[in-house]
Amino acid sequence: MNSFELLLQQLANGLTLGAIYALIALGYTMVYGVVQLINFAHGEIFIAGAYAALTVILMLSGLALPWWAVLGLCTAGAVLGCGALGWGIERLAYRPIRRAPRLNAFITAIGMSFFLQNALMLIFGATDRQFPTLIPLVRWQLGGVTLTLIQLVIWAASGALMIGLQGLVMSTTLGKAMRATSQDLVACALLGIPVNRVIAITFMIGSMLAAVGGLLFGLYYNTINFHDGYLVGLKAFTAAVLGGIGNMPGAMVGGILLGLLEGLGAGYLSAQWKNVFAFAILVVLLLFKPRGLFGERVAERA
Amino acid sequence: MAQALLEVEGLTKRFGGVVALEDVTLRVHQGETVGLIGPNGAGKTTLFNCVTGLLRADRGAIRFGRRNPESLAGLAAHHIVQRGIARTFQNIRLFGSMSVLENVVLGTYQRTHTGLWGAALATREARQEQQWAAERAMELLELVRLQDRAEALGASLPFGLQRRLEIARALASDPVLLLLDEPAAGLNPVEKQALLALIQRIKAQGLTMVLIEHDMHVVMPISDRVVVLDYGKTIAEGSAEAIQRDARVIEAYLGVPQRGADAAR
Repeated sequence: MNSFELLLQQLANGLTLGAIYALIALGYTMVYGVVQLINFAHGEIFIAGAYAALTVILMLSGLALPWWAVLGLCTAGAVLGCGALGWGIERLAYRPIRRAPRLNAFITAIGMSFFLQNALMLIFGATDRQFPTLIPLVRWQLGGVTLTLIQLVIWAASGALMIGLQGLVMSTTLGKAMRATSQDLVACALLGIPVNRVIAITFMIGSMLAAVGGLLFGLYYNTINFHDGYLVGLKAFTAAVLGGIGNMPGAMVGGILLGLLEGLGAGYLSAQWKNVFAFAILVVLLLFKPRGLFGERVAERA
Repeated sequence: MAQALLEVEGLTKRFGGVVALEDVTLRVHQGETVGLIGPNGAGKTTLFNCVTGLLRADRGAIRFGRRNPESLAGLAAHHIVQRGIARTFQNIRLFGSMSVLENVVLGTYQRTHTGLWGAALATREARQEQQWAAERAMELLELVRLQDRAEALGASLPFGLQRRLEIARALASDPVLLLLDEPAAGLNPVEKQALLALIQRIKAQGLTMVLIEHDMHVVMPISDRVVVLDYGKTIAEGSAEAIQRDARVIEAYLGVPQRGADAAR
């Protein structure tokens, strides 16, 4: 493998990871957009999605269904489960304190994250769980670069979801209501828009994207642990900040960029130092662009 | 006397020790334009905030509706809009990073029926409604003479046009009663004249309006009746001419220095 092939291979690996980060980062940024809250429990929602998918897969294991049927059903299970979880968290934990000072919501979010971490540990155990390889292990050699079917599935699924989400937000009434709520909640209410429902739906959509992220993460790495929610969630949050929190295209670009940086860092420096590499880039970027790459909307609000 | 469309009775609102509204009574009849005047801090905006559900009054009743007046107490803001009350704000609250057209389309929200999920799934009905909403929004932009700026961002409009856009957005909910909070504030004389003409056009369509305004050149020509608030109390009520001669009003406006920002802020 020559150096150019190594570069391409690391970019392909980084793009895969980045696509997953981007899906999760979207949830952080959408929720921040409508209620200016960093939902620290979002990382746990992500890994709960992986566990929900795993549960469905194990339930179906005796039925000898084709792999694509299992994939479809476990996606549905993860998406519905996490959608309900996101809705419940908003309804029970965040909505009651929406008018309280910002710090209260901040602490509630951290508390919710701890609560979910421990709940997941109690339900699914503290040790790594094996995640079945649902998608056949097909490999292609393109030049010196190896691509797998799983990678293509991850790219295609995240790409389709991001395009779909962009369409939803830019052109449907729901999307307009979401953007309007993020700018002026009171003015929205006075136009007859049910802002509580808009906020709840935003949490649900963000959580559903994280669920898909969790499933893809499980398929890619083949083991999941409740701790992964924290670290991957933190990375995705970093990606959202990198892109400019509150800005959806920013979260997508930030996620992919972070994945690519990690891939390169792991390939050229050391795999053990990849986290340091990613966070160092963030620190440097924020020194020069404190609002992230596309963070005008925060500037406007501040 | 005919049944009032909006009936505010004995309304009291305190913020800590400050009495923003004290036993305020206001009746607005169908088709009427009522001017609501008074010094800063008199409680005018607080009254609007109570009527539109942004604030909850401590005491008193607010009833709305021509045939079967219904109490608005405890209703959420978006439910009050559904009953036919729309408003604008003293400090314009547009969706600045959305287009002029989108701002008005959002105003039609409560006239649509597919709801948020239907909209998300882009059902046929939802698409037809979006089409309808866009057409309705364009009509309103023509009414406020903003049809040529439909694609511009809300925040990019000059101040005077932002006011017009806010009025168009409020009209998009197809209200029975329109509450205008200082629509002429910050406008230059030319813009004021244009605004006055716009309000006259809206009035000619038969819409009932309550208008908070300091500028007597705006209030007097369009108000059928003027109500004066001072220190949270109604101190005078009558025709525009009678109010201008009222000693208490002259004292409230001329004898008392301004008392800082409006209590509702």
